[in-house]
Amino acid sequence: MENITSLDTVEEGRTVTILEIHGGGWRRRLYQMGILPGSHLEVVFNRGTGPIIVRVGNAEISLGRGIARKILVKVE
Amino acid sequence: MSKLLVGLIGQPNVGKSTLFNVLTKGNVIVSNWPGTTVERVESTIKYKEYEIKIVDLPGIYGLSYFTLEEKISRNFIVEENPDLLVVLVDSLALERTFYLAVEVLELTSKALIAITKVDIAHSKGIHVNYDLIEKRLGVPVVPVSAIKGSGVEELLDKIIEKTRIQGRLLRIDYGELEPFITGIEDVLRVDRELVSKYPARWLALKFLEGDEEVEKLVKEKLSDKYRELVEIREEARRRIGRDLAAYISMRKMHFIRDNLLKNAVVYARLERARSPRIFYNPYIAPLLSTSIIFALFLLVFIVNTGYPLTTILEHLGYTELAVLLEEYSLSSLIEKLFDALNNYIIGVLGETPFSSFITDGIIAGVVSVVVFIPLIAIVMLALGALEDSGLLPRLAIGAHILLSKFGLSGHAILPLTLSLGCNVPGVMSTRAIPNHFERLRLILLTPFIPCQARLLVLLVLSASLGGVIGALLVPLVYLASFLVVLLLNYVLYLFEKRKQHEEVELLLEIPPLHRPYFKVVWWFTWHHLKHFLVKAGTIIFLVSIISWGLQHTTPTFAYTENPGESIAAFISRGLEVLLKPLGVSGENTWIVGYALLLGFLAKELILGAIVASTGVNDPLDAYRSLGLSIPTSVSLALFIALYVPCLATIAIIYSETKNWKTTISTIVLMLSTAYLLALLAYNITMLIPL
Repeated sequence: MENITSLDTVEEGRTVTILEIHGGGWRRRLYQMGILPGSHLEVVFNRGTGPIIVRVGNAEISLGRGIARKILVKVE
Repeated sequence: MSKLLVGLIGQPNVGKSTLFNVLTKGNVIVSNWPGTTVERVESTIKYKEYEIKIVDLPGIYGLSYFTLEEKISRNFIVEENPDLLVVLVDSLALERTFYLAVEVLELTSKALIAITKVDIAHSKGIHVNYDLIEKRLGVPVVPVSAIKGSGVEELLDKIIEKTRIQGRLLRIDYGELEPFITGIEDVLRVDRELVSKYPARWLALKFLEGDEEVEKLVKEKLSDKYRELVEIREEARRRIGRDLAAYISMRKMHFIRDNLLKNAVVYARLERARSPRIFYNPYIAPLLSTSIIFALFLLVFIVNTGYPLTTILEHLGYTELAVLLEEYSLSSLIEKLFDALNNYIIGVLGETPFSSFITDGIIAGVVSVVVFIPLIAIVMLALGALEDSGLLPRLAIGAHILLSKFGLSGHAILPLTLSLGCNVPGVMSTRAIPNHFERLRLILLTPFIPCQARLLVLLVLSASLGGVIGALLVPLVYLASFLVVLLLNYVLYLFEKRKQHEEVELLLEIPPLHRPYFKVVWWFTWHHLKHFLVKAGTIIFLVSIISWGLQHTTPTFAYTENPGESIAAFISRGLEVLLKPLGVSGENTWIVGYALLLGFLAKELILGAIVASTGVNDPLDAYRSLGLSIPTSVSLALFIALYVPCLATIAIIYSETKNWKTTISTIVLMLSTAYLLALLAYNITMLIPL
């Protein structure tokens, strides 16, 4: 099961399915933006430091690393 | 004529304010939502035989009871019971922006969907079968392009048509949760009054989600059944095996993707409009963001005041060119205009106390407001262009990388840069900061950033010094101000972190890049400028009139031409104790004290006070006539940049926080920081042999 990880460690260009989002006041806002369990994201940009950029549907969203760390995903 | 109440609702970035402005042609009434400082913008238009009042609701992502803006929108729908809601959906991001529409349609059937930016979508090869979506949703779907003006009349026709027909609520299949929803609905139906105000199914869903407001409502109205309802919810949680709010949002997303939009949208050329990745690069982006903002403000400063190009030209020996540039800068052009007006009035009325009141009181008051309108407007125009083009959210990424080292997020970029224009809109723009504590810190600290008013005072001080130190003074003071903001924020952040454990984070949508639309940039400018005009404008105007009175009245209430024997001088002499350590002494001490005292009310009054008290007409010559030493001027420059910006900013801080303790702490913090650093600057400059 090594392909289950937190979003901040996913390589650029990979598509992931969200499994779970842990805690934080950010959760509801993430849901409303389409980042919620079951949705597919493409990691557009991730260089190991600084915010990561994901694509949800047709829109790009920048996420702080602290938030990304709390999102558990399955890499496809 | 029949009257209609229509609410405009949509997620951020869907083009809501653009459509609102096109519908209303800018004829708006601005007030506050009851009990909040969030603006309520509305406008009444006449269309055919109808008078339609359109209310622009705040941009929100969903209808939970999570943010103040969401609460406002929900209360509007339930309490004001509008005839219709127009829900905006972005054709460039259909899946995500339909989420709010779905939430609205579960709460009320009195709604229709307007799909925005269809012209851009077409050019990108996105084609939508509006009829099919309309059929699936059961409410009218109207494509519009506000920028091109197409579809606007059709929208108005549909609004009128829809208010005549009854509709049905949207019903989404929640799968395994369905029996629990029905179970809760059955219990809720006991309270007839409750389910006539809110749809029972909607209440049930919100109860399952754990919505605070619905929880409170149910507890209050159905106290005897509350336990039973909580048990159903517990059972549902066990069955679903995860957070119910997440499950419900997920089912909504599935509905949008698999039922609503399936085979209704064609992406003809699925070119992924890749935005330039350079803005995302963790090493290049911080430098790029800072340079773009720096370059932009350099340009703005040159247009406004000529600085720093004038200083550079002077040092290169092109003195005449520098003088010419300064003469044709915005601030000096406006000044000339009002000088001419003053001379004309004095010519007509002669030199009497009355003409003095008109010119030095009223006109000076108007000038000190008007002079800043274009200066601030240019800052807003520049930022508006950044915002509308989609560049600002990209710059926020680079800024986030830098700012997060000091406990601020990339969201802070707008308040920080707006404050370079005027602190009043700067403080107000902190509303968009999602983290409550970060917002409070920014309200407290953005006033340290020198606004255009302080820039003008600093420029006179720097010109009086001349030479290398004069050239370096302004950049150093700006640098010091930014460092003060960052370091104080870091200290406050560390204190909070121990209690809250809430990290500063970035969560920002990156809209596609495009050429800015002038109309939209102008609305941005006007929106922020209005705050300066209303809040700062009235206060500054009143204060200038009062200060005229203080300068022309003696402590025994007689009229005087000599400011040295006025009430103002009398009060200001009390400040001598504090000014002495900064090297201010002698007979002119009261003038400096008086100028700083007025500067507390509004920074632009400082120069006026020095001119009036010395009797020397030109601000630069007037300041020179005070005969202050170089270290004193340096320390005064720093003090002026950092102490309380103006009364208007204080008023805004209070109205944003509704807390006197915070407001007074801000004043104390600013005064003590400014004084200590001024003292430090004085003593350091004393050591430098000049």
